[in-house]
Amino acid sequence: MLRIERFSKAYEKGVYAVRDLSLHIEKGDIFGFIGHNGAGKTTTIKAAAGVHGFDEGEIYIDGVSLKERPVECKRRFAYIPDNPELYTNMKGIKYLNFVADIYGVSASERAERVEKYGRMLEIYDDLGSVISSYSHGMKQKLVIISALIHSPKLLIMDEPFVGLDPRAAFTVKELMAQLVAEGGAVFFSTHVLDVAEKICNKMAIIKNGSLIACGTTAEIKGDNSLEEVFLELTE
Amino acid sequence: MKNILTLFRAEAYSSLNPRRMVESRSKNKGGAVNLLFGVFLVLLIIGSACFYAFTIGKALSDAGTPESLLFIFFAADALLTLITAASTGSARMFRATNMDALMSMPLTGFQIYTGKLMAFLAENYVYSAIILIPAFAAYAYYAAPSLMFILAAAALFLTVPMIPVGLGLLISALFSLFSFGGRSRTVRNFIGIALFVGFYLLLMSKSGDIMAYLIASGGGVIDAAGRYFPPLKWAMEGALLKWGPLLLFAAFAVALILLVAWLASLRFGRRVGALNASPKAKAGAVKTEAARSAFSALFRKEAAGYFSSFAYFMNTAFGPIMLVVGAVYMAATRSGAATNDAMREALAPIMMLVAVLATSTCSTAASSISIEGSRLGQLKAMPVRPRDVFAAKIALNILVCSVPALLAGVCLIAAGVVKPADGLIIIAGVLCFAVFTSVAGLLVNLRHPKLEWTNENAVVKQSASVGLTLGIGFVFSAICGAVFYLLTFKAEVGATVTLAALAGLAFVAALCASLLLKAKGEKLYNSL
Repeated sequence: MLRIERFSKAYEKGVYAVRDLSLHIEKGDIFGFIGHNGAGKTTTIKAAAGVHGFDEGEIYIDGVSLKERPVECKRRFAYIPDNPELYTNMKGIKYLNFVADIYGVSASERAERVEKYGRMLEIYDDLGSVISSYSHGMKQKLVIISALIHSPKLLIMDEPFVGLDPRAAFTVKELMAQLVAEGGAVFFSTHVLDVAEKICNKMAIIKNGSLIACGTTAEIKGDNSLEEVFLELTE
Repeated sequence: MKNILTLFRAEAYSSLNPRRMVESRSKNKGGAVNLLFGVFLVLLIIGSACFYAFTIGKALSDAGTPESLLFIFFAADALLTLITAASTGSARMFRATNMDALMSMPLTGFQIYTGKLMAFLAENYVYSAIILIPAFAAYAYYAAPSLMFILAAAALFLTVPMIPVGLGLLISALFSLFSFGGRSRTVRNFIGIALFVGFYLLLMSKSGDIMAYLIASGGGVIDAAGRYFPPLKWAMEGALLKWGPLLLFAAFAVALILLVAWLASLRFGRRVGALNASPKAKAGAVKTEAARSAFSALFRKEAAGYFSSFAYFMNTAFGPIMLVVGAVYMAATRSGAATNDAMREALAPIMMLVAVLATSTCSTAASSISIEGSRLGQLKAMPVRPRDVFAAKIALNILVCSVPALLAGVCLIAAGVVKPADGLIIIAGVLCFAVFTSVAGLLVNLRHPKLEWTNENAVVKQSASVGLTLGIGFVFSAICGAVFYLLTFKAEVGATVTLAALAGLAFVAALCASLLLKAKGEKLYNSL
């Protein structure tokens, strides 16, 4: 579903943020991407979401090259950034209508999904308010609804649980599991190792721009806790 | 005092450092490139301003009143600075994103406000320099005053901008008393625009008197200045090397700034708290809409963002507003009723130049990439072609410029100021110019975006791309002025041919800019 092959990204000539990274996320995967601050997680995620261009390597979504056919690829996934910066002058529902228009979601489908996810994340009644009145967590919920409004097969998320209350975090985990059960996949970065350990079937650990471990959760942590393995590997 | 200066240094660093004016692509190329770009930008804009100063200066010198040049440029600088300070003051002084951090520091409201005010003033000196230094140079060239004029000019340069900055910030502080978010903000914005239009209409109605004084003797100009605003008379006398009035003017300017800082910082914490609080959520109807095209969605997003921000709107649309209000005033007073055909012939190209200049101040496309800020990533992750994103941004800029241009053109014809055929060519020419400035502005902003900012004014006032786009507009209008001069006074062709040549020039410029955007735009966008 998402294949990253020999991806490298340098912001300055010769200074690589990520180097020669390859990952393969298949249908049914909840794939955790772990690393310390500045390891290259966000750079990789932004490249996979088509936010940052890159010169070396290839990224494929469902076998389609992101470099060659970016618009087609972007129709198949949804991206949730680490910081929910939104058009604060809009009302929540206007923002959702805007995103639905971009993805070509019909009026009936958007109405149904807005109600479904809005109620699940307990923000439906606030969608008629301007986004500038929202708290950080409410903005994050709005971004999550906007990501799900076009029923993507792949979710690419950067620190999706930051700012969410416990109930909303639980709901998001349920939504991830539901998407995967329906044949989709989730690729997300996180610092919360407990969450990664519980919900991911696969994960990768990145350090200073290079992959240092990749495999199933069981393979990576063995008999230890993920925290112990992570600390040992990244020391 | 130490704290004020420390804060001033920090604020001025973020707003005036040329390396902070451009980011992304160019930041990887090092400081030298940015510095060179900044120097080029300043030279470009000052070069255009010199063209106007020396052209107007020659005409006034021939009329025997070179000091009128200073009057005109003082007034122009004051008007622009006043509009900027009044429309952006609230965002700069009370609602910057670093306000939470500053309020948590052991600083008084007066210290914070004064530090920010000094940075704002310093920033305005850069803009005032573009207007005042060419005016001083042209005056010195034509009036040949003694060397002491350098001292007087330096004192005037430092003090003249203080008055509009002080008055503008005072107006914005008064308006901020009524800012509690939601609908009251919309009402306040309408009042602000109405006051601006009213002030401008007052200037228009008095312009006849002012022009009469300007055409009269040198003493008449100074009397005119004193009649409308006594400190302006002191400044004018200061320029004529009368030191007493100059000192009086400087003292008045400094006292005004200090008074504004004291008044505006009263109950500072309470005001900052009220202005930065999230507006109270008003639960409106949750209504999904019928599906639209991606372009329509993008355009509506651009328009909603643009018209919801008073500061951003006033920073970019005051030129078109002045154009349309002026034209409507002319139509309402039938300004052209007493004009004969020869006068209409002479006026038509001038009207086109004025319309082009007014349009060149509208720079929504030149700041449209910057205004996305950290939201740009989300936009880039959406399945839309870059050219659709560009089209929405350019369409908004063209709309904001073209509607006033159309209205102004129709009003000029209705007022009898220009012949109908000439009026139509003026409209076509200004529309072509609007396309040119929109496309060129977007291209420049793609090359030099400012994606990190503390308030939305920064993307207009502290942005190299907006400055460069304005420079391009001024240079283009200067070229138009040169073409007008050559065709009218050297080749002695009629107004219609001159207008057609100017419109053709704008069309070619628009075409070239569009081809350049098509060739380079997508690559630049993807590299952000």
